[in-house]
Amino acid sequence: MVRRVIEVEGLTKYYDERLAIADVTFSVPRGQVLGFLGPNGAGKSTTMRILTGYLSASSGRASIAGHDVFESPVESRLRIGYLPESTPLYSEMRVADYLRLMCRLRGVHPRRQADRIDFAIESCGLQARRRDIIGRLSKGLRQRVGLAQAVVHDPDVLILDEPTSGLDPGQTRETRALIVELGRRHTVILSSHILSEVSATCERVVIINQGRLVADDAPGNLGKRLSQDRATQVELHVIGDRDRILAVVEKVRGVESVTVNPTEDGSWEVLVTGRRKDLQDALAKAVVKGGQGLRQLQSRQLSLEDIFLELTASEEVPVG
Amino acid sequence: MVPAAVPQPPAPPALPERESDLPASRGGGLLWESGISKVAALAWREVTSYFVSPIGYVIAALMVPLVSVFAFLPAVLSGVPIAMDRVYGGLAYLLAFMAPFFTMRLVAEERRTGTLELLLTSPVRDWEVVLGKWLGAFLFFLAITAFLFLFAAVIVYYEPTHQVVSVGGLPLSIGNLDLGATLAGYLGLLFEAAALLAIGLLCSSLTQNQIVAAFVGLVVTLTLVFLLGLGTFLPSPLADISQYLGAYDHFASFNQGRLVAGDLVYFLTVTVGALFLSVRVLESRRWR
Ligand SMILES: Nc1ncnc2c1ncn2[C@@H]1O[C@H](COP(=O)(O)OP(=O)(O)O)[C@@H](O)[C@H]1O
Ligand SMILES: [Mg+2]
Repeated sequence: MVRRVIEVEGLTKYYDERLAIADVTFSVPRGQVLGFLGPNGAGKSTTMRILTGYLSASSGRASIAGHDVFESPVESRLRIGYLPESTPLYSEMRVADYLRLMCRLRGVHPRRQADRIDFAIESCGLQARRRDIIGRLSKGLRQRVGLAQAVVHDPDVLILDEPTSGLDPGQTRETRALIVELGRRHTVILSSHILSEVSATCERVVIINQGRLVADDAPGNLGKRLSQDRATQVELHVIGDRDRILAVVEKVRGVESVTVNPTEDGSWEVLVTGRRKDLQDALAKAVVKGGQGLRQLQSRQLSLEDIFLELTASEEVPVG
Repeated sequence: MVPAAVPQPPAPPALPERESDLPASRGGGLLWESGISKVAALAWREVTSYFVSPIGYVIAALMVPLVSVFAFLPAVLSGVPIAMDRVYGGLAYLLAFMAPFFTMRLVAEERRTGTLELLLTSPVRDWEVVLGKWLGAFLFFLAITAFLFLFAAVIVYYEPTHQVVSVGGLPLSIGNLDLGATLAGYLGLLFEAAALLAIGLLCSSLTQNQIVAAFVGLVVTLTLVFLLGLGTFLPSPLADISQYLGAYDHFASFNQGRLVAGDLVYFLTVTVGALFLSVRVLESRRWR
């Protein structure tokens, strides 16, 4: 079996003249849960639609388990379970009948269909809803039916486009837990525009913005790596002589800039920017050692959310 | 932050046992490979969804009274010996009105609700989708015209002699049934239905609005069945062409008990042509 289950190389897609994704390249090893993160309009759905063979790319290659999605669409789709963004389902059908139809369309052996339907229904918590008409289910339950149809033929790869959009917080939590569970058995690509969702469910995050990949790492590393080559800011409130404070603070290794402003209560507000992980500790030690009165100290560390915003903030990207 | 410079993430933990990278015991062998099982599954879904949708009920409920009133009763009341051709003839006209309503939902509705995306990203070929949907509509047509056998049975019951029976003072003429002609007419009806349903399916695949699909379909089927048949008033070459293109005359030839290759070719060409175009329309999404 191929170790890289999903391979995408130089994928580019134009809608008429409009560039939707540009030169997207990544690969996913078997068993990984990959978060595909980006703001609305970044090109997540477009990439997924190309992977599932619904759209063709303007250029580039994509393959699932070694099967090119353009050249052998049936072979590659056999290995994919897909949940489109809007969770489209046949609303007049009953849950179990719908799953049976999907089994038939996706080549599950007739003798194994009953087992697979039971498995999908149980793993998505739909036992009590087997005979229900899909159109009468709540949004959260329909989402589960959507996930059940994606796993019913036991595909190698699950492609889930914003699987929690439009759900209330309780349903969102349930759905995330379900995806984590499904991730034990399948290779998963999950798209989202919510960073916390991706860091909660995925081992790896690919960030896409304006059709281009801008980052690719584990959620933890992503935060670390980005905050390393980024200045941290610390805010101190100090009592004492302005010039002495300045002298003490500027001597601390890694400090790049210092501004000192007076405050109403007679202390000084000192804003320090520097490139050092333990900047906060170092500053506290230096100030106390220098005989100044330290009133308050807080770090303005960038959260993952800030990093995401910064990465995906509209900026001029070279075209080519 | 160039994507190429990004380091590959660490290897993932091993997955629990999988038999292969293929779906659990992919199966069906030849039936699966040939697409027959997928076409059958799609057709069956269409047939069942006709019977749970309002439009299906309405059409099925209208069929018997319409055919009875416009085709069977006038024939029976005419006082001359009757056979099924009168009934078929009425139904052949009715079909032009009804076929677009049979088919308007098929693709347009899936396009509107987005289920088409899920269908077309299943390991199903575009032609299997088109064939399955067309077959579903055709089977539905067969099901709701099954009552024709009842009409035939009524006629057969009085075989072999033509007789006039009096029901409530009305003289009803019931006649001899020629089995060959009865079957030929039925075959003609099936061919016409096949062609009109394929045209309706094509119209449905062009839009996501069922009403638009029905309307465009109506324009085409009415032209084909009614308008072109009136072309006999045109100057000579045009008249022949228009008559050849009209569907009713080809049906009528079957209905008169004749099996002519030309008529068969006509219906097969229209059916296959419309289905082929539908496949191309589905394919075209990729290039947009
Ligand atoms: N069918 C379409 N026709 C034209 N433009 C489209 C179409 N679908 C998406 N786009 C455009 O392509 C870009 C990427 O869209 P999409 O892949 O849906 O982003 P995402 O899923 O990340 O929100 C957007 O700018 C969107 O407007
Ligand atoms: Mg999207």
